[in-house]
This record gives sequence, C-alpha cells and structure tokens, in this order.
Amino acid sequence: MFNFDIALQSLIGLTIFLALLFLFLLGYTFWTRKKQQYWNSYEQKFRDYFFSLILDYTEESDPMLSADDIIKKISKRSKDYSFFIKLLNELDDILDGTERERLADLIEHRVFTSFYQKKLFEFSTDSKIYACVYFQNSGNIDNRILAKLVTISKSNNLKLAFAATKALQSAEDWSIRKKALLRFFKRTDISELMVAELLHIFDTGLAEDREQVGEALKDLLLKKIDPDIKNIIVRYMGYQQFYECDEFLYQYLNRVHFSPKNFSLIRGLITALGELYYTEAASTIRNYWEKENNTPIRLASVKTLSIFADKENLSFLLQHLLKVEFPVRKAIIYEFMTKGEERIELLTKFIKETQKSLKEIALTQKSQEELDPRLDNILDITSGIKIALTHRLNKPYA
Amino acid sequence: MLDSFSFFNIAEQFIIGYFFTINTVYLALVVGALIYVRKQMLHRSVVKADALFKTELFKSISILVPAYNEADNIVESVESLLKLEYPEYHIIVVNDGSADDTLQRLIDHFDLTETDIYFEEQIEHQQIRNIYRSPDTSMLTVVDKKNGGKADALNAGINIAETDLVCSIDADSILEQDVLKKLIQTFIEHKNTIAAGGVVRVINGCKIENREIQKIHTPKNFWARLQSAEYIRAFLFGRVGWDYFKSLLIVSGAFGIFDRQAVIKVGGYLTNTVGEDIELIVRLHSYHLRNNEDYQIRFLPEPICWTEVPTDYKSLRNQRNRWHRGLADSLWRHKYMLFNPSYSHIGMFVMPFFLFFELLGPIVNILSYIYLIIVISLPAYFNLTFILLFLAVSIIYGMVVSLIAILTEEIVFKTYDSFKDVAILSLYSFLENLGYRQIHAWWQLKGLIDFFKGKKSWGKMTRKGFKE
Repeated sequence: MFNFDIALQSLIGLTIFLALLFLFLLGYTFWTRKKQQYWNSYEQKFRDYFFSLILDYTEESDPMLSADDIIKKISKRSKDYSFFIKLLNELDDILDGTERERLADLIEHRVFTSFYQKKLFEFSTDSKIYACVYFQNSGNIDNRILAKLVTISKSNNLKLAFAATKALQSAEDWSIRKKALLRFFKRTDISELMVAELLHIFDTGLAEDREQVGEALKDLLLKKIDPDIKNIIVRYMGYQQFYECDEFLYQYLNRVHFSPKNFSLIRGLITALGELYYTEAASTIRNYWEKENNTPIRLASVKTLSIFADKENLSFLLQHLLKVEFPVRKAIIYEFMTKGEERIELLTKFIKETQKSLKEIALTQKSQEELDPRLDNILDITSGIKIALTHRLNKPYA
Repeated sequence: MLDSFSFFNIAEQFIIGYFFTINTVYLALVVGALIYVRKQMLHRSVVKADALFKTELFKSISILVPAYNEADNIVESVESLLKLEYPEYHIIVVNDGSADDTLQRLIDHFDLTETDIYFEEQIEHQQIRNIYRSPDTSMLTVVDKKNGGKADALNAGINIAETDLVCSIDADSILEQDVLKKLIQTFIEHKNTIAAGGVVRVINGCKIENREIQKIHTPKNFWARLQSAEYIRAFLFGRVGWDYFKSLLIVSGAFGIFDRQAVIKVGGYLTNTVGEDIELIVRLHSYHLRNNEDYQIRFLPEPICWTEVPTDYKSLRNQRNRWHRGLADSLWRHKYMLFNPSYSHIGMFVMPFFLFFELLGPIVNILSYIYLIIVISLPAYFNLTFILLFLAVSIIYGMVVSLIAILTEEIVFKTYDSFKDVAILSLYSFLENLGYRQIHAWWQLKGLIDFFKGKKSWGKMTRKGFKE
C-alpha cells in the first residue's frame, strides 16, 4: 500500500511549491505592473518628443533635424526602436504624398534595416516574424535579406511562411513576388482568406503596375494549384475590375473541366465575368446552368446574367423561376424587383402568364396532385415578390 | 470475493490515481495553453486582416442575439453591438416570446417598423410572428417569435441570416469592440474553420460606461469572485488547452462563431436539450468526421466576451446543474462516437475523457469525500497515509493548477487593472479548492441524477444587470 514517508513528502513538497508559486505570482505581478507603468510613462514622453520631430521632418522643406540626426537621438534599446517604429507605422497610415516619401527615409533607415536584418537571421521564430513585418512595411530588401526571406517563406510554420511571403511582396522584382505567391499558394494548409490578403498586398493598385499584376494573376491560374485558391484569384480579378483579363477568364471557363472539384472555380469565374461585364460568356454560363443543379454555381449565374441584362438572359432566368431551389429563386426575384421598372413588369407579366396557363391546365382536369406543387411555387414566388417590393419601397438594407 | 482489506486498498489506490491523473491532465493543458497563448499573442500581427478588408473577399457576419425577458438590458446591448469594428455585419435580435416589454423597448428605441423577409426555413423553429427593421439602423433586424427556448431562437436567426458566418451571443454579454476582427483571424489562420470560440470573462465588478468596459476589476460578491478564478482556469484548460491539441469540444453559448452553412448542414441547434452549445459542437465533429470532410473547430485565446455570472447560491447551483445535464445529454446522444476509431481522436480520447473525468467525475469526487470522512471518523479504518496523499493530490495539487492558471493569465493578458485584483484572484484560487469544488461536484451530481430523471428545464436564474 502507500508509503507514509512518500505521502508526507508529497504533501510537504507540494505545499512548499504552492507557497513559492504564490509568492512568485505576487512578486511577478507587482514587478511587471511597476515595470509596465514605467514603460507606459516612458513611451508617452518618447512619443511626445519624437512626434513633433518626425512631423517637422516630413512636413518642412527645411527641417530642424535631418533623418540621421533624429535617429541618433534614439538610444540603442530595443524598446526605443519598437516605440519609434510603432510611431512611424501610425504616421504611415496618416501621411501620403511627399510627406509619406520623407517618412520612408526614417522607416528605411539603415539603423532599423540592420537591426531587423539581425532579427531575421536569429533562430527565434518570434524575431523572424517581427523582422518580416518590418520588411513588409519598409520594403527595404537587399539581396541577403531577400534570400533569407525566400528561405523562410518555405518554412513548415504556416504563420512564418505567410509573414515572409507578405514581406516578399515588398521586393522590387515582380518575378520574385510572383514566385513567392506561387510557392505559398501551392501549400495545402492555407486558408482562402490568406489568399485574398496576399493578393491585395501583391496588387499595388497603381495604374502603371496594372498590366504586370494582371499578367501575373493569369499566370498563377495556369499553374497547378488548388481550384479553391484559383476561385479566390478569379474573384479578385473580377472585383478589382481587371477588364484586360476578361477574354482570358472566358477561355479559362470554357476549358475548365466540369467536375465537383472545380465547382468553386467555375462559380468564381462566372462571378468574375459578371463583374467584368463580359457578355460573350452568357451562353456558356447558361450551359453550365443546365449541366448540373449546383446551387452556388446557379446563384453566381443569376447575378452575372442579371448584370448582362439583355432580353435573352432575363427570359432565361424567368423560365427557370418555377423550377429552381429556394435560394436561386430568391436571387432571381431580387434581381428583377430591385433593378428597375422594366424588370418588374417582365416578372409580373411572367406570373400572370403562368397563372393563366395553370388555369388552363386545371380546365383539362389534371389531378390536384399535379397542380399543387406548381401552385405552391407560384404562391411562394408571389410572396417573394411582395416582400421584395416592400423592401424596395422602404429602401431596406438588402 | 474481495476481503475488506483489499477493497479498501483498491478504493484508496483508485481515488489517489484518479485525482492525480485529472490534475496532471489539467496541469498539462494549462502549461500547453500558456505556451500556445503566448505564441498566438506574439504572432497575431501576421494574421491581421488589414488588406483583406480592402477586398470583397472577407467573410460577412450576422450576430444572433436570442432575447428572453431582457427588457432591462436589451437596448444597451444592441447599442453596444452597433459599435463593433467590422466592415460588414448585421445584428439579428430574436425576441423569444418574452413576457416583458423587450420587444416594445426595441421598437421604441430604434424606431422599428414591421417588415417581412423572404427566407427559407432550412432549420425548424417556432412560428415567427413579426419581423422588424429600422430605416435608420439598416444593419439591425428584430425577429419576434413564439417562445421556443434559446436554441430555437438561434435557429430562427440562422434561417434569416444571409451572411457567411453567424455569431451567437447571450443578450447580457458585452463584447470587445474589435471582437469580430480578432475572431476572423482564427478563420484566416486555420483552413476550413467551421466554428470558433473565444475567452469569456466575468464582468461583475468591472466599471462600465455606455456598455463599454472602462476598468476591469474582480467582483465584490463572494460567489462571483470564485467564478472569476474558475473561469480563468476553465477557459485555459477547458478551451485553449484542448484547442492546442485540436480537440475542442465546447464553444461557450455566451459567445461562438460558426460557418452558417456548416450549421445548417447538421440541422442547426437542437431544441430539446439544455446543452445546445456543446451538443452542436459534438454534432459538427461527428458529421465532419463521419463524412471525412476537412474541418477545424478552433479557439481564439483572447478575452473577447464579458458575461454576468450568478451572484447567489441558488442561481449558481441551477446553472451548474443545467450545464452538467447538458454535458450528459450530449454525450448520451453521441455515445456511438465513444471509443469508435471512425471518429478519430475525438471518439478515442476526448469524448472518453469527458465521460470519465467531466461527467462521471462528480460521482468519484463525492464518493471520495464520503470515503475520506469514513476513514477519518472510524478509528478502525483510520489511514493517515491515505489522508495525507489525498490532501496532496486532490487539494494542494488542485491549488497548484489553479494558481498556475492565474499566473498564465497574468503573464499573457494582464487583464486585471490592479495588483490587488490579482492578489484576490490568487486567494480565491485557493478557496475554490476548499469547499467550492466539493459543492460544485455535488451540484453536478444532482445534475446527473436530474438528467436520468428526464429534467429539461433551465432552472431559475437571478441576474442583477449591469450597473454603470
């Protein structure tokens, strides 16, 4: 059975450990709070002092101090560097134009570059991540840093790879940026939201880069990456109005293999072609509609065909109104009820005709069982129309 | 047949082994949580969604607020929800047949008008009487329905929502303003996330202005203080720790975010259970593992939701009784998962742990204390060695685990504003092992008995509301 000595020793040992732990906790809490108080007040003073100096440097053509002089005033403590970078990042969000360019003199200053370069080469993942965040914001990447970032972007640690890939988007060479994206998109553990985030960082939004970005995105679509990721890429192209890629996306839609694996991609392509108003795609989209009863694809098709808006597309949607599942039916009704009087008239006319034909069917003494589902659909559609109309009149949130 | 000596031997070894095992697992989970949370906090700048929000590819969210007799708090709750930071979100308040003027207060304050929504009832729920919207507050929808319980109200909200994600909260919870931005990080970081929870903390004692927390303090009430220490410990090992091992089985009913389609696919919340939150999570695990679909249920290890806890003995007893019935009900409904390799580590390890240590734990606890009393009071069976070991592995070891949880909280979050608050929490982490846990085990045992008796009621809860 149990040994008395061991039991007693366990009790005493644990009690002593508990007491020490308690004292440590109190000591730690007291000490860290005091420290925190000190650093908070230090940071406040630090900010008050440097804020005016930095603003003076960025706004005045003849500033009181040069970038070097300002940097010299910072002590070499890591805390000072992090406070200063934090301040620069805050100003980075506010300033633009020449002021932003002058701010870059400070952000990209060799003192910080060498400080974070050292961090990038440290063993610690935390240090590497801090460095990646810095290089992503500063864009001051030389060959040595670039090589290291490429290595880190291949890491098994998803967050580290993500941080490095983001940082690589600050590289000047487009091919490096594109390769980093491709490398990351080939991973199997990334989320779709990561893809969207990276695409937006990759796309500078500048008119002069537009063609390069479009070409790079097209190129990515030709590589062997997961269709779900491609879905995000094509939707991004659509939402960001890459009109120069519309023909390519249309050809891509024609060539993509129609299989469940590619359904999300097909849906994305249909959405993108709608956003890009590529009306030539209408017949292909209608064909996809007929091919398989896939709700997300049909929902995307409703939106796109409604954007295309010619008579053929609209009557196609109306023809399917009675047969389709609820979400698609709802989408069609909203597209007709919220996009102008002409469409409302078309929808009303269609309902009247359907009711008329139902009456005729009833006269031919078809059984109630045959009529009931059609009547239910009509009732449902009428209720949808009524609700959509109310919303339209009340200017609802939808 | 066993003689009395061997019976006592086995019983004592079992009791010591049980307490040692459970506290060691909790310790491992707390230490795992400490490492994980610290890492998460240091690395969170990487998954900040700054660029994502400039695209149209982020996930839209509906916040579902089931409200039953919430007249005192509901307007302030919704006002505070309207201030959240997120590019596109909606608030759906579901008035679940309140007997007070919850609905009228909403109508008056937000100038709501009756409207209708064209939606499909994909999940069953009680009849909706009316739907209201405000011309000025377009992101707010109020649904008035027949009483059907919290789960039923949430189901109605899920049907009406049109967003990618739905976030279920309690009407009396206060959320951090950047809660949605923080939570979306979980969806960025983890592929195929279908549900996520966050750390819920006790709001009693905090200084609140305009439904915003100004100062975080420990409560003044004895029971609430005990629960503050308990919440810190429980959320660290009960959520973060399990999340570290990708084995999360509970997302708190006070705050949880779900992929709307995933919830619809499994049929929504179950209405005839008192543990709808845990049951939904178990069902999501079951469905995805059975169908071999990739999924993740994750936890954001940051305090994001503040909730009022019961401050009187009866309310607390009723709440814990209900929670235990909820756990029993979920495990019973999904007993087919237990030790079933088709359900991976959830079936082979997590559910058995919950069965033996969480559900049946109170039985062992109570029997152990009865045994301890017998051993102490009957000279013939007096065994000092056992008593000392029991004290060591049950009480002192439990205190060590509780205190490490408080220390973890202090190292990582520094949530509480003053040194005094941490000192109070530390003291209460001792106290909770000296009486509270034992009473708690008794409430849980009663809950288990009530479950077998078929009790389904929520029990009466008294809440004081937020004092500003």
